[in-house]
Parts: sequence; structure tokens; C-alpha cells
Amino acid sequence: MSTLPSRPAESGFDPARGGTAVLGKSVIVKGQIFGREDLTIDGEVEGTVELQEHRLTVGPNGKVTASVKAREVVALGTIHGNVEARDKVEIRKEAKLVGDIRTARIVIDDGAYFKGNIDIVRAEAPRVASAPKPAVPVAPTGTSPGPGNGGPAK
Amino acid sequence: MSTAASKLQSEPTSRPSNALAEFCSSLEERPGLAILDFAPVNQGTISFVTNYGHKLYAEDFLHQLDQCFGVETLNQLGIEPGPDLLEHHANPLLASRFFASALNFTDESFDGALVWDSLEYLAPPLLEQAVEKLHRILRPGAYLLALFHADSPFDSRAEPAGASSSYRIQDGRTLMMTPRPYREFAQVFNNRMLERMFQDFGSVKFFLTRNNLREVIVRK
Repeated sequence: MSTLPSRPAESGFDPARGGTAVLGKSVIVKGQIFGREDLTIDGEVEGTVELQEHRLTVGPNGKVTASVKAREVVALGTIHGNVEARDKVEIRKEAKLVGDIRTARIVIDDGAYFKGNIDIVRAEAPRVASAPKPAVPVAPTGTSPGPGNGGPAK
Repeated sequence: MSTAASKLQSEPTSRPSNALAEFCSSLEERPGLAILDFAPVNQGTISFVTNYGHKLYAEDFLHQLDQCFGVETLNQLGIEPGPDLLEHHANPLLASRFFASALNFTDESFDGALVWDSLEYLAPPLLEQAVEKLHRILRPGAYLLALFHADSPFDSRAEPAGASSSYRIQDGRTLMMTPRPYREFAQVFNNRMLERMFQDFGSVKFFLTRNNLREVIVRK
């Protein structure tokens, strides 16, 4: 067996690691895009884009008129449509996004344009394996903190 | 104007706001509220509102006003802009185009609205429609925060007419203001005019601030 460290191909594209696909600025796609790798769109897309575990980047020339689902969405161009990103949405300066956003975290630069609803979905705390129930019910000792009780982070 | 002076004028400034404090106290009542923000989208207000577990709808009201009543749009529609763009606020066709994109929500969609100083830039026919729509889209008990510049042009403390700012929440008691390009007020209001404007709402509360920016909390 070779002891040499494995290298990505000369082109820099390493399919084993999952590369980044690119739709260049002269490319127009109408329809559905599903992917299992990161995707950069610098052209025009109309339809739906779904990259469940990966990142979608809409480049400065990109125009996406579609509902988008991805792990992470970075907008430098234009998106018209609802965006659902499990981890994060970034809307950079000069970007334009019209649609509703549902994500865990959002970063918006000053100068970006956004019109729509922002719904931050808090990641649920990992569930602890259910403890054995006591034979005798235990009286509550206090109120548990509900969502929003803590107020905004300072 | 020197570069240093123009740079100074474009720097954001902060100020305490009792009206904002009252508005924010309403956010603590329960999670899951829907809040409408008329300012250009910004991280400060988003983080503040969503950290309570609420949803924020970003509207950028003045951007939409410019889209519908700006010189470029008027030219595209074959309408002579003329010297006073505010005159076009009385045009029913333009008004219906405007409200097709702005404040186009179902009844009782929101529990709060951060209107800031946007209403000062609407001429009467458009203003009345906007306030009527705000009344319609807010739920009973909802809070609305609006700002109005002083009506006394002789008061040296008053901010000059057209000294427009973009507003965001810095914290629950502090506003951050970033100067915007000059924009002409459609009209300047006194308290009586404001009471009349919000007469369909349940209550109107005024806070007069040091720089004569009148803060108003309206409750439906």
C-alpha cells in the first residue's frame, strides 16, 4: 500500500470530498436542482433548488427565482423566493432577497435589500434518554424557563 | 463640506428612547409575536426581535415608496415627474400600485409595528390610506412605534427638515440612527394632528425628546 498522502486531482476538484459545482453567469436553468455538493449559481435559475446538507452561494451575477433549501445559503446576487437553511443565511451588501427566510442564524450586511419574514428556528437541545419514572410523582420545585423568558442576548 | 465633516455626518449615532423601551416591554409578554419593521433590513433589529423568539417582517417602506413614486418609475409610466414628486401621492393609479407591494398583508397579521419616521414622507391622500392599512393589519392590543420631527422651525434644538435617518434597535432602550440622503417631508405634524391621524386606534402616547423628535406609541 502506498504511504504517500493522497492528493486531490490537479484541477483542485476532489469528488471524494464533495466539490463545489458552479453555474456560470451565462447559464440559465429552468426546473428543479437537487444536489449533494455545494453549488454556486452565478447565472439564472427558475424553479427549485435543494441541497439539503450543502451550501448554496448565489454569486454577484446570480438571479435565482426559486424556493431554496440548503444547509447554508450565501446571497451576493438576487433571490426571489423562500429560503430555508438549516444552519445559516448570509445576505451580503448589494444582495437582494425577496421572500421568507427560515433558518437557525442570519447575517445581514448593511446595504443589502431584504423584504420578507425572518423566522429563526432554534436548534433543539439534544434529547436525554428518558429517565426511569419515579414510582411516586415528584412535586414541581419551580417553573422551567420557557422560550423568550430570557429576553434578548445582550 | 470637508471630507471629515461629511464622514462625521454619515456616522451612526445612538440615543435613549422611552418609546422604544415601552415598545420593547410589549415584546416580553409572550414569544411568537409577529413584528413589522419599516426600516431597511439590519442586523441589530433582527437579532433583538428574534432573540425574544419573535418573527420579524422587514418591509423597507421608503424603498418601496421610491420604487413607486420615483422619477425613473414615473418616466417609465409616461408620467411627467414635475418639480414636486409628492403631488403624485394623490394619483390613485400610483397609490394602488404602491399598496400592491407595501403593507399588503391580511388583516390582523402583526403584534407590533416599527414605523419609525416613514409616515412623514407621505402626502395626505397616501398617508390616510397607509394609516388605515396599518390599523387593519395590526391585531387588537398591538403596539406601533412612530417618530415625527418637531413642528417648530424656530426651535434651534429641532433637527432640520429632511434630516432623515435610518433607525435600528441597539438595545431595549436605545435607538441607533444612521443618516440617510436628504428626503423632503410631506408635512410636519403637531400633537393634535397626530391624535387625529391615529383616531381609530385605542390610545396614543407622546414622548417629547431633547432634540424635538416626537416619539409616539400607538396602541390598537
